[in-house]
Amino acid sequence: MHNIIEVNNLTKKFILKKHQKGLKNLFHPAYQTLTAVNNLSFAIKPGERVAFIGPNGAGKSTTIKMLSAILYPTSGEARVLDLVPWDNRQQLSYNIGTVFGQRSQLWYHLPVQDSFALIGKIYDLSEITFKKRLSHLVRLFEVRDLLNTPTRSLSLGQRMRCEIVASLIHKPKVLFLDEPTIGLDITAKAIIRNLIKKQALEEETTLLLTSHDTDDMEKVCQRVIVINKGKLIFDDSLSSLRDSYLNKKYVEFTTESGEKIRQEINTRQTSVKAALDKLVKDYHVTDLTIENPPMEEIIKEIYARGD
Amino acid sequence: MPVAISNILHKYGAFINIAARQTLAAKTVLIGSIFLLLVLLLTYNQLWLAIGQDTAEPTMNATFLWYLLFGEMIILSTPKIERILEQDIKDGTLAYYLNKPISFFAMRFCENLSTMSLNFLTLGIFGTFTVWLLTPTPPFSWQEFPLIVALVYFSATINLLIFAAIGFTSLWLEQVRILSMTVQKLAFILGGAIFPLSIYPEWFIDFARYTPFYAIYYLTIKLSYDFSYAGALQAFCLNLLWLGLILGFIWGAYKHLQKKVNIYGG
Repeated sequence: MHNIIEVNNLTKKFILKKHQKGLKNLFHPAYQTLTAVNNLSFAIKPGERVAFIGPNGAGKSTTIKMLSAILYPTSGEARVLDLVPWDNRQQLSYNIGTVFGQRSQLWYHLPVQDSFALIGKIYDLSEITFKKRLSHLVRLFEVRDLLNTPTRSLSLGQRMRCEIVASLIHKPKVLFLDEPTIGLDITAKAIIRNLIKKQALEEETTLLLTSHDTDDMEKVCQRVIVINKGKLIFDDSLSSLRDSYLNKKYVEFTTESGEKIRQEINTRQTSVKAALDKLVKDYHVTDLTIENPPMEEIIKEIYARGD
Repeated sequence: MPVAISNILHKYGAFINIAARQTLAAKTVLIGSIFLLLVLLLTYNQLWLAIGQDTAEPTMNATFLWYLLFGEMIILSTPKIERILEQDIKDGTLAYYLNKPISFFAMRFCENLSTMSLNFLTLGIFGTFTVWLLTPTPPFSWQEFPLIVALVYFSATINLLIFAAIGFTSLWLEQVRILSMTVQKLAFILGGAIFPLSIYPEWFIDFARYTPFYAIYYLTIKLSYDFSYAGALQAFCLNLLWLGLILGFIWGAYKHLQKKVNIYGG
């Protein structure tokens, strides 16, 4: 099948001004080069849901910003829907959607409904098409009650649901999601993940999702690309990553006496259910959370096995 | 009307509409501008009554009040577009609009043009009424009034574009505030926004002629006391020339910005 996204040796370097004492900065400014993305290559097929993960500063967001026509690369090539993103911004814009967890595309003081209407006009949607599309998305993302609320009054979880609706109004073929669950509580994260997956399956949207939360990729994606320091270090199916690197869980629980205990479960040797049954039998548990290993740990392991 | 043009009007019209609603919602800013204009006009009138009326021609008061009103309508109507653009460039907002089917500059310009137009209209109504009450006989005929107002509005639009161009310099400058303050002061002096240029020496007027402020301010607002159709045409043509030059600069800077703009981190 033809690739919907193709990336070849993509590199982005930032030139930063070095801080110097006194008047040196004025007369002899010094610069340093920061390589955010380093010769990155990969391809994505239509309808794939790909997690693009890595620790903070890995280059995930920079890559997504180049692919979504926001940034120019320093070198390398990329094609999204057969278009070079940074050369065909307007043309591409009608077919891609972007959600940036840390940046709102809604108008801060306007009711959400007005922001949606403005976005409909930006994408040249007719009144009928816009209304039909909005009605579908409002139902899917359960935001009917929020339509008359100004963006500034929304909770982070509510805002994120509206942000995703805003990015889908023009029915993009590719959706770029940059940290869509950042800052959300566990319940809100679960809702957002379910909705993103449901929509992608329903409309066969290609997803490229960045996150440093491994749960995001587990719940939404089929394929995982891991990058670190701008370089690709893993590109395979989620099941492959799970079998190779996600074979442990951390359980943190509080006993009746208030003691907090953290235990590691090796999911190759025992199922999570069996481990929890044993825990409940051995301790009087009052509170419990289960976590995946943090991204840093997975990356360390990928490197260790690579060596 | 072709679909493409109708879509463009529809798209940017929406921003004009939203900005107008927001300007009307932020009433205090608008009331502040009206208050400032009225204080200026009344102070000047009071000064005239105290020291001017015995020493100058009686028509001088009306001449200066109308001159002052039109000048202030340009200055006070212009929103701080340079600061908005500076913020957009520095925090990367501009970059996030690059992948939308919209021109970021056109969007911001429409928003600010909307605010400027509302300010212009409100200040115009209050100012005209006040000056008319203070000096019932204007130095122009009422038939000429619509053309003068239209040319002053055109000048205000070019003034807005000058400050938009200043906003774009934030790509090279640490802060645009100093440049914007300098331009404002130059507009006051070289454009004769406080006192007509005719009171300055000839060499100074010759120098001012080569700056945009001469056409934008002086030539246009001078029509309030020295109206002629030839003068109006001259003001319009010179303003059109400056409009072309300023738009050329903005186009180049915007093209450059689209490649240079960076967003660091997350």
